[in-house]
Formats: sequence, C-alpha cells, structure tokens
Amino acid sequence: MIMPTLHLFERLAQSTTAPVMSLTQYAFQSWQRNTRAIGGYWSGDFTIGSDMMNSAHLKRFFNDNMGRRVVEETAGIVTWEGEIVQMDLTVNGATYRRAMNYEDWHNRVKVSFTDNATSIVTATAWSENTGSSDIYGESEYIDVVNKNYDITAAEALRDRRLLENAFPRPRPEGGLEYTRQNVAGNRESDSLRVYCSGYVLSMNRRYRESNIASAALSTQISTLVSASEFVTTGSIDTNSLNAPVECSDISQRLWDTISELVQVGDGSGNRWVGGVYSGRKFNYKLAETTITHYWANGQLLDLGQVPVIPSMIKPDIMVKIVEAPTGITLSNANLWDNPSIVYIEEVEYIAPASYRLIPYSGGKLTKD
Amino acid sequence: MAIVCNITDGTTTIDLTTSSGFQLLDDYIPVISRPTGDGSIPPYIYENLPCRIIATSDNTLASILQDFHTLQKRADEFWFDQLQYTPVWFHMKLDEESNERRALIKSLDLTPQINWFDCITGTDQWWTPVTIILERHPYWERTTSRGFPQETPTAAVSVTYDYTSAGTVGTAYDPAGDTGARISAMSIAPLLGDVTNELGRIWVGIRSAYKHGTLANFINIWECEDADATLGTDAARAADATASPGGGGNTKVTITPGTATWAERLAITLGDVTTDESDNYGEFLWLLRAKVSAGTWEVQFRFGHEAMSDDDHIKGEVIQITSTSWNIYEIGIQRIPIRNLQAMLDTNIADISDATFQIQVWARRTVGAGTLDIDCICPIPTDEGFFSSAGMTLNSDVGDNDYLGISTSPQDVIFPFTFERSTAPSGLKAFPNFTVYNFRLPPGDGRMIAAYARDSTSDITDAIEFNRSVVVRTGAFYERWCSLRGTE
Repeated sequence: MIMPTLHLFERLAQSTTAPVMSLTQYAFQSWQRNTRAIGGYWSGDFTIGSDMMNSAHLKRFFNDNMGRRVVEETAGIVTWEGEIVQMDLTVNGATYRRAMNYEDWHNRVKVSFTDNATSIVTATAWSENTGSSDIYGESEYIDVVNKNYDITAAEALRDRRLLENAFPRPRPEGGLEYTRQNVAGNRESDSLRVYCSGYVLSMNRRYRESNIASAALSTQISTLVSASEFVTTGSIDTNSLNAPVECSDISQRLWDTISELVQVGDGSGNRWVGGVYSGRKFNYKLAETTITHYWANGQLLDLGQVPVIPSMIKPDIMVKIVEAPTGITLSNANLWDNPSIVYIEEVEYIAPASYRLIPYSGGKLTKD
Repeated sequence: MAIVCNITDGTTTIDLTTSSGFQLLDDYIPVISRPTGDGSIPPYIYENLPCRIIATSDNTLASILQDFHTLQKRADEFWFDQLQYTPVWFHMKLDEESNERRALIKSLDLTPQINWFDCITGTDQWWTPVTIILERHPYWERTTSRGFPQETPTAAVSVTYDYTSAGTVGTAYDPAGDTGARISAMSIAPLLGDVTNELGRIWVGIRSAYKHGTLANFINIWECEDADATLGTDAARAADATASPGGGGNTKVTITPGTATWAERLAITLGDVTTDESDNYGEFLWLLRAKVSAGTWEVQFRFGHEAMSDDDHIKGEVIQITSTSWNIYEIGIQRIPIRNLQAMLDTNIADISDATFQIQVWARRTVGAGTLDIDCICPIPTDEGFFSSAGMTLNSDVGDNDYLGISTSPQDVIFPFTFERSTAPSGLKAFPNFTVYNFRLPPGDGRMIAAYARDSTSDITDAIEFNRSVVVRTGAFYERWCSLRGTE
C-alpha cells in the first residue's frame, strides 16, 4: 500500500510553486496530522531529532522556515497541506519558540477607540508593515481599547504594536534557565518540534468589518472565502437557505464567520460541511448521509471491502462497524443512531500507516 | 575462491581474515534480515563480530585501532554530513560463494573483552579479544552495479519501458536478488533532437511479473471512445486529431449539456478493454486526459461493478477542469479488483466477474457554457514502486537535451534532479517537486509504466527516452539480498 511523502515549499506570499526541500527522510517517522469535516486540513506536527539532523541544521531550519508550506502527497495527490505556524527548538537544554498566531504576530493593525473629545467610537486607519506581509502574508489585528484616546494616542499605540509584533521572532520559553541538568553532558538532546496548521486557519488573519445583506448561504460563504489571502473557492454546492452576515458592530475573523455559516446547515435540517483542501480550495457540500465505508478487522474498508490507504482517508464519511452488535435504526431516528453506524467528522493520520477516526459523538476508531 | 570479510571506505580497510590486525573468530553468527510485505526497508540490524586483534606491540595495537576509529568516524559522518559522501561498507563472501556482496555500515563500536593493561603485564598481547558491534543496512547489495537499457517508446499518453530488455543500447537482464534493487541512477528525457518536445510532468509506476502475471497483457491506456464503453448523459464520440489514438483512431468523447449538473457521462469496464482481467490487477493512480471548451467542469470517477447501483460505487476525488488545452489530471487511487481478493477466489466462487469492474465518469459544469472533452484514462501502478515529478520544463533540441535524473543514495534517499543541456549555461537546472514510494526494481521480469505531459498541457506527439547512455554511466542499479548472493 502506497505511503505518502512530505515536502516543504516556499511561503505563499513569496511563491506558490517554489520547492525548498524534501522532508520525508527527516520528519516522516514522527509526522501526524488531522483533517476535519468542518475546516478541512486542520493541523499537523513532526519532530526532527539530533539523530536525523545536526544542531547547525536544526538551527537553520528554525531560522529559515517559519510560514513555509508543508505538503503531504500520496502518489502525487495532495492529501494534506498547511503552513508551519510554530517551531520549538531545543538546543543546549533551552527551548526557543517562534509562532505565527495572530495574537503575538500581526503586521497590519488598527486601533478601535472612543474619542475623548466626541465620545464616539471610531478607529484609526490600517497600518501595515509590508516588509513582514510580503514575506509571511497579512496578519490583521484590531486592538480595541476601552479608555478614552485621541487620534494621536491611538495611532501611536497602533504603530507601537506594529513595531513590536510585525515579525514572528523567537522567544525563549520559560525564560533562560541555569540548572546543573543543563550543563553539557547532561542536557536533553537537541531537537526541533514543528507545528503546522491548515490554510483554513490563515483565513482568521483577516477580518470582515461590514455587514452582508441576507443571501444564500453558499453565496455568503463564497463571498467570505474570496476575501481571504490564500484560500479560493473550490467546489461550492448551492445551499439556498438565506442568512445575513453581521460584522459591522464587532468585526469578525473570516474563518470564524464562515464556520458559523457552515454549521447552520440547510433549510431541510441537513448537515453541511466545508473546509480547505488541496490547492487551498474551499469546498462546501451536503454532509454524507449514506454508508460509504466499513470498519472490520480493526481497519477501514471501502465499499469493495478493500483497505483504504491511510493517508487518503477524509472525514465526512459514514462507517458501518461490521463487528458491532446488531442494531436497528429506530423510526424517526438518524441513520447514525444505529449503534453500528458512525459518522466520522475528524481523521487523524499518524505516519506511516496508522490512523484514528473520530466520530461525531466522540470516542474513536483506531488502526495502529 | 576465497573468503572475503572486511570493512572499508575504499581508502582504509580492516580485513577480518588476515593473520595480523583484526581476525574474525569462529563463533560469529550472522544476522539475517527478511524482505517486507510492503516493500519498505526494514530497520537496520546489529551484528556482533567476535574478533581478536593480532598485534606485535602496544603501538601496533594502537595503529590498528586508529584505523578502526577512522572508519568509525567516517561511518558516523556519512549519516550526519552530506559533504562526507564516502560510505563505509561491510564486504562479505563465503569461501565457495561465487560473488561478493556488501552492506552499508551506519555505525561501528568496539568492545574489548579483556583489560587493556593485561597486554602490558605479560599476557599474550598478540591475541586481544574484542567484539565489533556493527550496525548495517538490512540488505546486502552488489559491489558493482548493473546498467539500464536505453529505450525510446513510441509517443503516447502512457508508455511501457521494459528495463529487462536489451533496448536500443543495453543487455537483456532480469534483476536478481531477494528484494527490490536500489536504483542508483536513471534518466528520463524528452526525445533527443525534437525541438517541439517538452517534458514537464511524469508519473512512473513499477509492475513486476512476480506480483502481476503476464506483463504484456496490462492495459496502460483505456480509450474513452472505446466502442464497447457506454456513453452517458450528453456524451458523444468525436474525431479529434489531437486526441489519443486507439481502436477508433484519434477520437475523444465530448459532453455537451443538456444536463449541466452531476450526471454519469461514461461507463467503461475492464471487460471493454481486455479479456485478460487478472493480468490487470493492482493498485493504481488513475489519470484522465481532458479539456473544456470554456468555463469550469468538475469530474469524479466512481468505481464499482456494472450491476451495482450508483450509490454503491466508490467515489473518488472531485477535480476541477478549466483548461481549454488537453491536460492530464490525477483523479484518484483505486484497486482492481474491488473485492477482498484473498476471500473471494475464482477457485472457490464460480461467478467471479472481473470483466464487469467499471469506472463511471461523472461530471458537472459549474461555470460558463462550454463542453467537456475526455480522451483516455491511464492507470499508473502504485503498489510496487512509484515516482512522480512536476514543474520540470525540460526541452530538447537538435544537440543534447535536458533530462530528469533519479538517483538513490546507499541509505535509500532518493534525489531527483533536472539537468539543462540544451541551452547555455549547462548544468543542474532544478530540484523538482516529486513524490516517491518504494522506487526499487523487484526481482525478475518487470516494466515501468509511465505517463507524461508538458508543464500544463498534454501533446500526444511528445515522446520520451529512458536512460540515454551518454547521460547515465554504466552503473545504474544494485540488486539486493537478505543473506547470501551466491552466483547471482
């Protein structure tokens, strides 16, 4: 059964195609990632130990690869894609962290304040550090202050926040500590832990600040997706249930808003799912309502009773557990209320060939 | 014949059979690896080599040990520093074994079995017992490599490269060994001297007779316009000089809505393309050659059997097609047959119907008002060895041309590269975006099944060459064994 490979590409803000290096030999044994029915490619992580890469190269990796694109491919088909959003480097017993979460890293800032002269809630203009956004992409932050400011003070606050947080700089975690343990010869081995997140979460680096009049949910979702920097609309099925988008009072981050709309479902009470998949495309469709797979002998099988390639398993599948006690679906119940049928809303893949399927009701089906 | 047992990097050698230095003792018991079911490389193994060091003085003992430490250091460096490119090998041959073999050493350790100071106080210093603890690659390999034949298949969307034949330059030979042979070097290039050729993407799968029967019966191109295929909603056959040749000549299937929503547009069965169904078993990456006249179409393959309902078919990926030029799309990975082959054997069940294995092509138009053309479907094997690469932009001209090189280190790290020959400056061109899985040659007869295309289009007149001799040196692959090589 074919195994995937792992590759590192340049940051999307700089190139959509340029390769950097193959990660398979360094990271594949510790690679794990998950995909969600609502969200798509969600998170992943791997660890490079000093047995795979010497300290100098670990440091270079830590310095150079923040924000770069990680792609898992199975026979050339993208089966997971995301970006490096955090790295923890341990050298000589001390751990350093670089992270791209928008609370600590933002290169496009405005301040919302109450003007002390007019008592009107207003905001500064956006200010951007293009040196950072040209490399890492935009990360927006609206600082809402509760004190009375004037425009000068608000702009000064904005500019200071921008200066201090425009780049994902490394910070020693837990401070710099001396203990006898950290003396050479006793330290834990050098290592690099790399955390990735799917591009769905990159959509939260932008805000929606104005309302959208009521329209079909699929239209609303398409509009919001189109406002993101790296994600575009993919396969969007029509959901004619109407809903407004209200963001003018309190600006909302894009993915948070889209996620709420996806979870509305449709006018017939059906679940819908949506997420970012291969090529950073956002797909939106009706959730699965018929059995698509079987679970037997501790593994997932397709309808032809053939084991599914672990890295190819996606969420939004309906699994019949072949060995479960016989159950029936009561009248007026959902298909998955039958105790032998589960709806899988999240899949964890653990390289090289293990996985966990997480049903909607919690619990898990595991193949080691 | 004679025994061979040494550790060497080509410069420093420790011979374990001589009467001075290290000498392997009779109680050495070899460790034997086993071939894996999934074709992966098993973990490296540890061997304990009980030895004695024969030295005429403490200083000679020191000199012998220094040679050992040189090899220890080099073996360790080879794993941590690519700038150290000389491996350390463990060579072995039994007395009556015809051919020598070698295994890559990952680490060396030495454990003395007596107090060093006994050497000084009068105990016979000439016989210092030690144990060499050697961590090595699980497989033995040839000490010199075999060559690939050069071959240029006739231009097509998908071709077959017989690496066991003599080709146009080479020697016919089936790879020997107990497990997959390491491919140390091979090349694939656009046809030499044809300036119109371009190679941008390639998908290569390995298929062996050992696992899959009669290789000549494998169908690597399923023409959508096949006379036996069933046309679906709004689909019609049409001549097209740029479409793949097949039973109906240069023909395609065009879908012209009518119905722009999801509908079955074509159904083609295994029985439509062959009567040798079992020779087409395997796991495949399915490729589709397609284009639109305008707008955006979505296509999905559904796999099942003719008698199954649409819902019971296994649904593949949904892919978008927007290009108005022919292009090749990766549709999904699926096996033939889609049943538990171990449980449902034709020796037990009379009504095996592999001929009714079916691919349904479903499609819908999501943007615009154009038509969809589908040309052919190409299965690329993924169950034995697979390699794919994209974004290469390799050109050819009347002189030398660019090529894709695939090389594998002794530690089984594959390094593909592209090389610019056509235009100055000549040299390494790029490190392509690639996927690889178990890309090694199974023992026995085998083929590489390859589909290829330009960077973003597909031209059926493009041809490719395998292993043009001027590019790849004589060494190209190393067969491997679990224990003894013998006469192979």
